[in-house]
Amino acid sequence: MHDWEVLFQGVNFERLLGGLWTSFSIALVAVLFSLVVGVPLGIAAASRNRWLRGGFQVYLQAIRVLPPLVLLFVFYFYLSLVTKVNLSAYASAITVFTLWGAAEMGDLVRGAVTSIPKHQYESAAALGLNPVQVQLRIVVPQSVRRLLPQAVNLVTRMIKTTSLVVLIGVVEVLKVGQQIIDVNRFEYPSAALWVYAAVFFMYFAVCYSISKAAAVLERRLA
Amino acid sequence: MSDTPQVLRLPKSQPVLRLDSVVKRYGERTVLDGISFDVAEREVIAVIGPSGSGKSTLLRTVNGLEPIQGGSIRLDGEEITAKGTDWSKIRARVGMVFQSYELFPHLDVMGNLLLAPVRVAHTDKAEARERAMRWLERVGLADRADAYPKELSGGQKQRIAIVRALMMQPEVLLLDEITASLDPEMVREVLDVVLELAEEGMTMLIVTHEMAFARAIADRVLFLDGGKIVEQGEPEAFFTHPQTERAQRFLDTFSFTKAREPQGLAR
Ligand SMILES: Nc1ncnc2c1ncn2[C@@H]1O[C@H](COP(=O)(O)OP(=O)(O)OP(=O)(O)O)[C@@H](O)[C@H]1O
Ligand SMILES: [Mg+2]
Repeated sequence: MHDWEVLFQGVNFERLLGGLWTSFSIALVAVLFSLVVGVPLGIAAASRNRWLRGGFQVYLQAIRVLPPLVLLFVFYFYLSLVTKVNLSAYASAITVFTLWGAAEMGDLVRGAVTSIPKHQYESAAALGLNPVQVQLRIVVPQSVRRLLPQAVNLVTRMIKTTSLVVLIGVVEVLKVGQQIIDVNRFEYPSAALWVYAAVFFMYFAVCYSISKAAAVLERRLA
Repeated sequence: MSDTPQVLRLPKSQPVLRLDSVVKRYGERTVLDGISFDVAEREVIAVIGPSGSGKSTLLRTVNGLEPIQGGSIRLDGEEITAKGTDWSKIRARVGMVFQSYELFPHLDVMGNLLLAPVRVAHTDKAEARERAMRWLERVGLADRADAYPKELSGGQKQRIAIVRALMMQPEVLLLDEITASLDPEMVREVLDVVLELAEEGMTMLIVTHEMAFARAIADRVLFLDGGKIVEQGEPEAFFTHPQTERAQRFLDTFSFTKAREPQGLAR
């Protein structure tokens, strides 16, 4: 038997896929939450109110300076020490990725909204569009176009970073991979190589398809 | 001519626009300092003056893009600077075209033209589309209805911006240096459209740096300096014999005198 056949031995491949699904589902849920929280956050951050703007910057910078791994540990291990809240590994992962995603998504939305020239608002207003129509017909569609490529980039980054959650014990694709490697270490020494290659291709397939789909969408919108 | 779009004409006894002692301040700074004048129906007024004299601000106060701090502005006798004015309604009646022809980049030409008639005036879409096509034919752009703004030249974009304002059948049209950011060879095609509108009786308030154009199109010239109307009059009189020294100096900046005598091939 070749070493690579380890991949398809028993339920190994299904387990890898299952692991991929775990990390993918964390990313998916977090991305959804990030959109729901991040879009209004970004719109608030683009407002003229300097408390809103300032508050958002503090939040964003705090998230940026803290590595996701540190946040994961904080939410998984320390939160239960200081408070009564005891989050499961899965819930901590989603919380952390949402905090991160909402901050970055908010910043992208803020950037897109503020990059629309003042004259676009004025031209629309001069035609008699009311403020709501200006937002709906002019600002939102233009922002979405500017946002899309960067948002996709953020989503793929989030998916890739979910591989970190192995460290707080959520079973996901890398963890499964390691378990398979450990079991087969002596019998099939190069199995590790194949397992990691398979994991690599799984991540690649997911992220690449997202980028491709986004490119198509972007062309549609342009 | 019956199938070409016409400018809206209504018999009127009162001025379309009446500005009375309009004052506009930015903080401490007074940018419009008691501006009063009337615009009669079908009248074309050219507003000229040095940079920073308040020309753009003046136009912007007329459709509420800038609130004013004193005086009043009336449209068809109705005070539009009163509290509680629904500016969206007023702006639908006052067309404005800017220097930087801001077409909406995410909409094609037809989308740009239909947006306000359909969403603001609630015109039937088919009817609006027909009107748009007739205007496009008139300005020679009927074949570009499906083009996006980025595919158009500056002159084409500006003609579309004019048509976009006309689609709302405004009572008065405000034009703010609409040729100032165009390449010289495109200025003419845009000004020709405006000249035609004037011939048809469109009421217009035109800010321009094109003195020959102002002279050709205007019924009256307003010369603005330091937020005040320093001089006004018929274009011929104003351009040949300005009454004030400031107007004279301003006009002088547009003419060149020979810097040196012709040099022969002396040897
Ligand atoms: N938003 C603003 N805040 C403060 N000052 C302003 C603002 N907009 C314009 N101004 C000032 O108001 C004055 C008149 O400006 P305006 O744009 O009306 O001049 P203009 O006659 O149109 O000049 P130009 O020929 O250069 O277009 C200028 O001194 C300008 O600096
Ligand atoms: Mg100006």
